[in-house]
Amino acid sequence: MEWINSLFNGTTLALLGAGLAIGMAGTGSAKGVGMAGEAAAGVLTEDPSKFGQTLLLQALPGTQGIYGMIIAFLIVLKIGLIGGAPVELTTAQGFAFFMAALPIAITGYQSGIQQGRVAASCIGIIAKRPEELGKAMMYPAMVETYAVLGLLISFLIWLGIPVA
Amino acid sequence: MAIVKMKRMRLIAPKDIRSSLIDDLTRLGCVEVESSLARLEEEEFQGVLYKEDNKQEAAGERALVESALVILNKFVKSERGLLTPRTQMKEGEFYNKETVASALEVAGQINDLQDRLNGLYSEQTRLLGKKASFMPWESLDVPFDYAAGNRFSVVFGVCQATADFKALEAELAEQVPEAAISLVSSDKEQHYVVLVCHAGVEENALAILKTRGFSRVNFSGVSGTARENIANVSKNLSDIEQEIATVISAIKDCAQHRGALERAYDLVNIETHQEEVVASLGCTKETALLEGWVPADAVAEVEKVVAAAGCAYEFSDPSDDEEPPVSLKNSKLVAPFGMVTELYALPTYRSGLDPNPFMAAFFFTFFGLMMGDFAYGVIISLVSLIMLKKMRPSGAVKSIFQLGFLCGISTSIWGILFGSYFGDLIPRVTGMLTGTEVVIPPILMDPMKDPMSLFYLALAFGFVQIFTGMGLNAWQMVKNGDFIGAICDVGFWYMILGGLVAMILGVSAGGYVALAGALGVLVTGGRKKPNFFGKITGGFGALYGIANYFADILSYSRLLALSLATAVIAQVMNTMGSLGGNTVSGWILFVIVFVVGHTFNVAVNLIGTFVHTSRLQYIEFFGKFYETGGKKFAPLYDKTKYVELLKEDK
Repeated sequence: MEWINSLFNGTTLALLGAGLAIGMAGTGSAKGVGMAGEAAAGVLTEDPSKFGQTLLLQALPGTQGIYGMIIAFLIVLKIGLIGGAPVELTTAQGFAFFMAALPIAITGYQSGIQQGRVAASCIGIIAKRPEELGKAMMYPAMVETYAVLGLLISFLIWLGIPVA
Repeated sequence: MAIVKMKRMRLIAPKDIRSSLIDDLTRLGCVEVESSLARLEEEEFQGVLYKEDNKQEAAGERALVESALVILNKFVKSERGLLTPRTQMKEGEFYNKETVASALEVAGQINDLQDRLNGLYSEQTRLLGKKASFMPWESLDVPFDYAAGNRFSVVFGVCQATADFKALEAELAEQVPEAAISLVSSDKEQHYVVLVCHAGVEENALAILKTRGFSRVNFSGVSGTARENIANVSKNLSDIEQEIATVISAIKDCAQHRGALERAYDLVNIETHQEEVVASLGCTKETALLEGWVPADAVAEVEKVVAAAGCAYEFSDPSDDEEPPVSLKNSKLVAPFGMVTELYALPTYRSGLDPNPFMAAFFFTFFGLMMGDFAYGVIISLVSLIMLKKMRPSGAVKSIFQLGFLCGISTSIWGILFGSYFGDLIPRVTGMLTGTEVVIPPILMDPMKDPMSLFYLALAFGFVQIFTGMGLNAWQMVKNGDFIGAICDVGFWYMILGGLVAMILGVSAGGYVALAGALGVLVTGGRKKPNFFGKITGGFGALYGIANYFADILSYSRLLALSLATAVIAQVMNTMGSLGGNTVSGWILFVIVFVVGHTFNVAVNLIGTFVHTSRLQYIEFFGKFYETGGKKFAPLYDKTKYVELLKEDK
């Protein structure tokens, strides 16, 4: 039953959390940035001078992936896999890290997709009224709020986990 | 620090000076002219109106210069880069008509050359087609007009490459022995075939060939062999190529006039707008009517110009049914932040409240807090400053870099407060070099080590900003005479929120204040509802709004989250860079990761920080008090793309 032991080993669980944080939030961002990029390419066929503005909007749903990476990095750092000696984790500690990763993993995944959809629609604003870039940036930003909140809670949980 | 007071201008000018008057007003740059066209539809104007044919030459000239510049840029790349400033020029020099006339001439030449080039290209295409039509017959020594006037026929034609030529030849020999065909050449699609026969049997022979898909190729009017024709066409082609080269070099020679063309473009562009304005004026037989808006403090200046031109005019305060355009005037420190407000919406003229001074203070603080790194702040400020100095931009671009400069300063200040210099670069590098980490202690707190303090600070900022917004709302209500509204909708809420905070901080009396405030809201919240039942439930509904206030204040937790984002990514980059250790290759890795990584961090966080700082202003702050819907003041002015005008005092 050694494989069960290694599966529920603290370090494995913490790494599973780190992987989920970057993996799910990154997937959400990838989908979002992809959708926005498709819309942007459509606008560009008509008017290549709008590259900068559409790129800015396309970049907006990319932040979830970065938030996910932040949490993943912090977890890996705290368990000593980089920049220090590896820490022996109990299974309970490992689960705690896993739980710390969930808020950003879940909010990052879904908000990345939704933000991508809003960004794609807002690229339509740029197509017709490029002077309204400021407003077009605000709608996607409204969606991102929830990824920010997810990041915050993930961070606070991470901070509170005691490691020997 | 306010919304600029506007005066209504009404002016009757002698009709023949209306263009020069508009020109003078453009140079003043402080008069917005309204189109009279809609008003002129009104009944009372019909008797005196005089339809005027306005010449619109400038639009055509602008199109000419514009296309000349496009053509020129196609052949000679413009040296104008992102950082190239506009050419400085004195006003008198810029408006010199003679230089513009010569530039227009050059523009005409360039357009003519392009026309000629187009003609040459189409001739070249035609000749290439002709040459291609001779190519399959190149090996045939028979001239195309060989049969002319003779008793035999020579017919040129093609048939499908799938057709069996041998079978065709055999069939023809059997049925019409006086005819013979031979295969000249073949390609993937067709056989090129020549038929030689007695003139009398031509039709019979063709009838047989046609059943096999033969079709005739017409070379009537062509003399000589294919090879001779190909040689002729090739010679023509090389002549044309040479001519194309000459024309292109002639266009390239015009590149020396690019500066003049660009200046002329700016001038005719201004003239085009002026002509549009002139066309929108209402005219009688001898006079023109001009209506518009002038900022109150510019009236004297405008008056001097219109009086000198001999116009009848009046400046009056806006009447109640008029909505004057909005222009916001602020000190140099606050003005760049006006861009953020303009991205949202302008205030109404009558609200009399310019949110910029308040908003600027919060924007400055929050932006710096979210970026929160000394070195990043220095970079942002320096880049902005270099762009301002090198590019000498105007309008919105100038505001962006001014904003960048100010926000960079704020970022540096917060960086010192947080003890962040390229994240944790200093302890990391000293650790790699000497083994002991040198830490510059933060003055306030390290968000990475003590995030809860920053969390409370963020909420406190939110509390202050929301209270400010509510205060501005109360101020506006008082100004409009609604004292009850100010007390009920803001005063009681101050008591509730302030009392609760006091209670949390340990002042137990705060609880009673909050309770009193809540009672006040409960009683007065439904005061605008028409019936008794509505008044009761309205109070509960209003009190429920406390959830919104808490949500608004919690929304400021993003200050902490984004501040952490910058700090952690910086730390990630420094950690990755130092993985190589204290070796030569380790340091090379470090430098690469350092440059790329921190550039990435600044770029990504600039977008995030700008968006989230703006959001806090728009939703949490403006939502409390801001009355939007103003129309932007759009005066006539000499807008230029290539030239920077230096004003001269007359």
